[in-house]
Amino acid sequence: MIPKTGYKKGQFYSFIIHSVALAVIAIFFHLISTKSSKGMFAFYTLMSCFLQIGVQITTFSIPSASFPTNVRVTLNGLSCAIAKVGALLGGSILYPIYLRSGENWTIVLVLCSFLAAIGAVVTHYFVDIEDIIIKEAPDNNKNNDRKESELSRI
Amino acid sequence: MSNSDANILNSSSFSTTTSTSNNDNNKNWSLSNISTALSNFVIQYNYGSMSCALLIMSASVCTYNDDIKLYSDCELMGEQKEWVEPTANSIVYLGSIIGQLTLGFCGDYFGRTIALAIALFLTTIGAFFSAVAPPYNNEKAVSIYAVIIFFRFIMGIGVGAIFPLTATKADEDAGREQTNGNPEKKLNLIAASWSYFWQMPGILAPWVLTFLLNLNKNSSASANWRCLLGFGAIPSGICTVLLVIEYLSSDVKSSEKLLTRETVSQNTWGELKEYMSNRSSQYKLIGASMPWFLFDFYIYGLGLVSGYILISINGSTKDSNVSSAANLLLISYEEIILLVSTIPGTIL
Repeated sequence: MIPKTGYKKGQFYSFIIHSVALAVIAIFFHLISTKSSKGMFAFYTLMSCFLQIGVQITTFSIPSASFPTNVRVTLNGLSCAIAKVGALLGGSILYPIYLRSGENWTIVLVLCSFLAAIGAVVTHYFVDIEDIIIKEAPDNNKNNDRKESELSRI
Repeated sequence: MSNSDANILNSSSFSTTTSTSNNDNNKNWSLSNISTALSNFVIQYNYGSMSCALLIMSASVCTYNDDIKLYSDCELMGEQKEWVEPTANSIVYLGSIIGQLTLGFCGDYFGRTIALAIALFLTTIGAFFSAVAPPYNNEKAVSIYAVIIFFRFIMGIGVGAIFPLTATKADEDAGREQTNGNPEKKLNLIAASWSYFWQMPGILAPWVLTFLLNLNKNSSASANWRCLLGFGAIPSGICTVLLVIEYLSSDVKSSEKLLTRETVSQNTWGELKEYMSNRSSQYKLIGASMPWFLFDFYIYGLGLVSGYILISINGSTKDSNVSSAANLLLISYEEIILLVSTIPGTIL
């Protein structure tokens, strides 16, 4: 999907997919889990598959394309560090929220869906890598069958 | 692009032209490709291995039995004091944040290959010594966890730094390869995506290893968790060697002159401050970091609680002893199914 949409659009659409997937899990979690545990496991597994689409790769790649060469790794590292603060917060906050909400996963999943929607908004307004050119052109200098793709001019 | 941006970019442009043969270029790019892919495997294996090890460890290293002091007397198998799991898991992230901030800077100052080799060396040291943590018998479990947590912190510094370094190195090296070593500043983002893909086997591997180790009823719990933690040192050690080989080749040295202070201005910190003083650069940082922050918040949060969600779905799948071989097989089996099902999503 990413090579076709580009990294910014790919991240935007992926966040929307995540938001919808998490909302769907939230809606059906209680309904299905009380009726069929195996059905719920299959459903949760399928939804988890949707949560792997796009964003994992774009968030990993976009920082490299966002900054100039001589400060690239420093600012990529700073972006990573901010992300890991998010991981720490998520890991330490979500379970207490579940406990305080009367052991209700729906609230946790709705919160995650909301955060994914915010991710789409932030991507739309703040990600600045419009100069990435997605093209499928042969590299005449070397291998004619090699696809020259995802070259970004910095 | 702002004037400030343009100045920064001009200051970092190549001042020399490298002339390398296509063969040398291919060889170095292949080494880079392998090392960045394997490094990404290392990241997720070492992040995930502690959770699996803790499940196994509770059978032999139980903090509730400190007064008894004997492994064989772990009467409350599967029980740990409240500080063990969150400390052991979160210390890696704390180390990661420090590694990303410090070794990321080193990546710009000394070059990507050197900084990545240092990161992987720290990972190897941390993984190895957490696996051989003394004491080996009749001692307090607390001291074992203290040693492991210390070395997991060291490992975290290395693992965390691998993220920005591999993403940048993969993009830059592949971009350089596509221009036949011609030092045009192009990035190939597909290369970072490819190297990222290898995080998926890294997530799976600790659970597969847990499953396999528990199939062998003759191996002790102690041997199993040490094997699980120590395995993380093997790919990171191999990667360190590959990066040293890569660095020692003349092509990499010349192409990485761009990144050293020999060919650009001497003040990395000054360049950074100048770049970040620009409003558009600040927006770029928000654009690069905030989506990642939000994503990691819910994906890591849900990942850590997925075990609880699975229990909610299946009812209580566990018996009173979390560390029993049957339970470990069941938990690792469910995790493997869950993780394998996410691979199509990653490929998409």
